[in-house]
Amino acid sequence: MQTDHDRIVVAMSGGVDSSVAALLLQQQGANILGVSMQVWDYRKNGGCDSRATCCSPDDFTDARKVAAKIGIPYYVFDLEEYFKEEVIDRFVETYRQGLTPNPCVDCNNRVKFRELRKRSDSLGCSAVATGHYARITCDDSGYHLLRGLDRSKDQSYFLYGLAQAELPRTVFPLGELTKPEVREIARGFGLATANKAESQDICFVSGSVSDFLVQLGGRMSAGDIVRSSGEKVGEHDGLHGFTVGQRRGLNVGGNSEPLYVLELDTAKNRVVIGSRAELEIEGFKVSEVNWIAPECIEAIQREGQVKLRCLAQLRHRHAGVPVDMHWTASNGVAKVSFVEEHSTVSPGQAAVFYDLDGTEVLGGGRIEAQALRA
Amino acid sequence: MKRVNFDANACYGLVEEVQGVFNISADAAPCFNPSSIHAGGQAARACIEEARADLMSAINLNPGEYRCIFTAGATESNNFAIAYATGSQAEQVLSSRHYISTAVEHPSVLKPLEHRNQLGDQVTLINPERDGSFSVERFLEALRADTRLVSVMLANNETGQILPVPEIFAAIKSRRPDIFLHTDAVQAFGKLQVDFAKLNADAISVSGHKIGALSGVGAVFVREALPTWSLIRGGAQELSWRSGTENVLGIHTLGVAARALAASIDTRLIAMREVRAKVAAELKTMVPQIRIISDQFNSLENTICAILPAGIGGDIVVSADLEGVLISSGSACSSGKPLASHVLLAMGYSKEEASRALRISFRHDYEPDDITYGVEALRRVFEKYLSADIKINGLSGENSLAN
Repeated sequence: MQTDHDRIVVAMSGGVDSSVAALLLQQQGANILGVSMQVWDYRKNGGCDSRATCCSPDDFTDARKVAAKIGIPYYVFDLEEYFKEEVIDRFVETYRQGLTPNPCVDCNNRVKFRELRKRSDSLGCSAVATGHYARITCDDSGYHLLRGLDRSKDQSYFLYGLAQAELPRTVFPLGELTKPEVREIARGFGLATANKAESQDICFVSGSVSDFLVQLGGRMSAGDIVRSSGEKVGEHDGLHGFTVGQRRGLNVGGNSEPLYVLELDTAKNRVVIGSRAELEIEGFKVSEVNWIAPECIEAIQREGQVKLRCLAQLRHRHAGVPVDMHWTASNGVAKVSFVEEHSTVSPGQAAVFYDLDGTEVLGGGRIEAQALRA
Repeated sequence: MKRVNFDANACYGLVEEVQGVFNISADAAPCFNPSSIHAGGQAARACIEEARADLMSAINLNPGEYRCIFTAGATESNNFAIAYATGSQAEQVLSSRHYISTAVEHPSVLKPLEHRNQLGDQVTLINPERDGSFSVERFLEALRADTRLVSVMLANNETGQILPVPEIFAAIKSRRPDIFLHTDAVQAFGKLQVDFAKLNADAISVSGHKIGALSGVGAVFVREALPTWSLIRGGAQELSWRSGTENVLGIHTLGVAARALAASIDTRLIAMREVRAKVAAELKTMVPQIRIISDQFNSLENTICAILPAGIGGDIVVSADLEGVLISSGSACSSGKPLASHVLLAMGYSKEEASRALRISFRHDYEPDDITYGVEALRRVFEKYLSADIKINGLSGENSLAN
């Protein structure tokens, strides 16, 4: 763990993970500040209806209590504007395009590890630390981003946007720990958040995503559900309720075989469904790719491309499947083909490439809408 | 680490005389309820009455003309004054009620007025003129048959601006003696020579933690002839004006701080003037494009309100905190996130300019070393944020920050 920084900003959400991250750093003698990011104004969004009083989210209170107990300064940074533009607006726009958004990735890439880092830099802090379960190691070839030791809690999937240059200035104190160990540490120190339940949902959506999107002005309209032949088989009340690969909630009865969402046709506002066989694809394309692993960066410098076999993780809880991946610098797009099975992908989601061990994050990007069909 | 308080307008901190208070023994007055019949109660009663006398003396109001009511702070005092002017239940004769105040008041005045507005009353908030000053004419123009309250702060907490309350109140009183005149004197008391007795005010609010006493205690002075009415009802303390067992310790510190203030107001003002002048001069060398807006009008001796040039990025207040000097920007908010100052917006500054505002405000009693320490800390802060471009060329452009 790198604690050879002058001063480190620890992003504190009020949850047990970031609390323990701060605690561990402080115990190791690092000079740290706790910072909570205010990304969402509860006043303006149905929290309090009074203008000049603030709803202090309970989480800030928890973070503040933990900071006081650990004995570190604590501040709240207003990152609402950035969050709105980089996360929420993208979230809504992605749904509008018929894709599945990944707000946690956007938040990491654009808010936490960009904007927060910028502000931390200006305060003379040389690193940002979070409670993510991931590891950063260093050897002669450079810095490496690895999965957390606790495979079931590993969050490296959400961190594929980190630049190689950032890794020396990023600290993940929890990477070698399991969640139960983290809770134990919290309990041992008497942190109020030791037994706090984890937040499961998107941090800015309380209630249903549909309601949220409607509230933000997206009137997702009803349309048809069709087979790939174009034959209408049912109706839907908004494309946002569907993800490619989805099987449940289609409400089209009377089929012998299970049916899956193949495509979200935004042009005609249709959900296209089909059989498992139709769903399977041989490969897909990934754009907006970020490369982290030193070996990949070297390959790009040498040959202008990265071509290798690796494991692709296609959603958060996904074991990862072997793929052949070919990315060229000229168009910035990776063509990815499945090696073994023909699997489904959700356009808009992140595809993160790991080495064949499944340990190191090579890089990752966003799955494009056009699949490669056989 | 050592800390120097250059944020006196947010909290003065305890003056030396008050610190002495905390050697308290178990049989001391603050340990008892002033309403008790026994010796303990009598001691507590004597304690708060002494504080009352000290406070009246410090503010130079005559007990025959004004009564002093202790409250839990100026927010309560302000809420009380507005509620008093609204009228008791028995007085619902008028079908409409109108209140006049300014757009730069503290939220503890604006919020109760907003509440009255929501209940159907009318509120007029006077804005400053283009040059930031307040015009007596505007207040007179706003008067209506159903106006029952005019509330104008004596000095603004954010900018230090001194408002022409004596002129405004004199003009209104001569035309409309029926209107209840209230002034929030929280920031002015102890930082400005004011003849409170000649203000023509019906109610005056003051606060403990702005004069070096404990927070959570204050007072409202009400014209003696006015009929009794209370916002907080219960055991009829404060002669039925304000129920609730008195905060004896707090009130005691309020009296002690008031007495110390009265004994030294002249020297305090001189000291504040000197430290402000020194720090302002230093600030101008650190940040050549700084706009010290508190220089543009009549302002409290201890307050610097400045707008930093565009292009200075970063969290000045946080950075200053890390260097050991305490200052403010905008208005404090309980969640820790600063809001754009309604005061600066009312004065015509943009939200963007308001986001670059700093308030640096002083006590009267720094050691010379402390002043130097604070100034050097600020210098380190600004050196970090000013890019070479700004220093040399005085650019105020958007892209002049190196990062």
